[in-house]
Amino acid sequence: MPEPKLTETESLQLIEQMIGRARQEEKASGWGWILWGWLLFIASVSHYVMIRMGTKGASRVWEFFGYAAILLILWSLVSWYFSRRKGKVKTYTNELVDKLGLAFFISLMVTSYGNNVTDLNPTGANFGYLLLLYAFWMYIHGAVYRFNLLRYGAFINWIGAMAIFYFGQRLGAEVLLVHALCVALGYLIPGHIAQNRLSNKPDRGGYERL
Amino acid sequence: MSDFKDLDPLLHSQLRLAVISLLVSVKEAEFTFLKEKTNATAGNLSVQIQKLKDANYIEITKQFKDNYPQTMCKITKTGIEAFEAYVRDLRQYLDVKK
Repeated sequence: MPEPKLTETESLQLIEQMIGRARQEEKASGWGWILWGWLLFIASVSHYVMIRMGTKGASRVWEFFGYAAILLILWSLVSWYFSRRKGKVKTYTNELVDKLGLAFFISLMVTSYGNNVTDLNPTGANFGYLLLLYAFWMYIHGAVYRFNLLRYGAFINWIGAMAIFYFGQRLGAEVLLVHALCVALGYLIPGHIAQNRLSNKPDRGGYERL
Repeated sequence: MSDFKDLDPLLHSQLRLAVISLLVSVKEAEFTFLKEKTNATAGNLSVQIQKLKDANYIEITKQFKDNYPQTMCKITKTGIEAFEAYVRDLRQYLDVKK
């Protein structure tokens, strides 16, 4: 059977339609940062509660957080390794986001190490630097996936970081609450919304112009 | 004399243009992905991607995944250039029609 003849307008429409369909593959579920966000949130709030209750060695919460984070990273690497060949399609966006995630975690580890060895942790400023890193990741991720909630989350984290640097040690233990709030607004809420959208509309991806 | 170039006949076909438009947007895609997105039959799609491969517009890699054959398609540099030229020529036609 001869192929139907395309007009120029139909050709252009077809190109747009196919590029649109390919873009539907640029999606992420949000599960990764839901876990990451909950870990950070629980560690911050637990640390704050323990300080207020006068528990000795409250900061050890972050040691446990560190172990959990290492397990999460290992699990991410293993699941990435096994899923990389399963997908029907590889997009430049998803590949870029994987690399961004790796760069983020390396930067985070180095920052955490730096905060430790420079004795920055007791000042609370360490949380400001961490919020800057989260914001950077959120903004790029939000821009790549056209997910505005993440971009708003980034601005909230930048504001949180500014507040921590501005108020400095006057914030005291409340710096942990600022950190927890920024994590909730930047990771948890967008992550849960993305997850919810993905389970309701699996063909559309987790984030799209929210 | 007209300055218009003829549209690339290899791309000026519904299914082949659909395949190239999909592949230009992704790094590589499985045959089943192309079939799903274009709603084409496997037979027709095979014929059309073979034509694109013969023109060096796409690369086809056959491999095994979980004991099943898997055909991966990827646009080549020649394919990208041909697609860009096609879109350029298309715009030229459409501008004149306005």
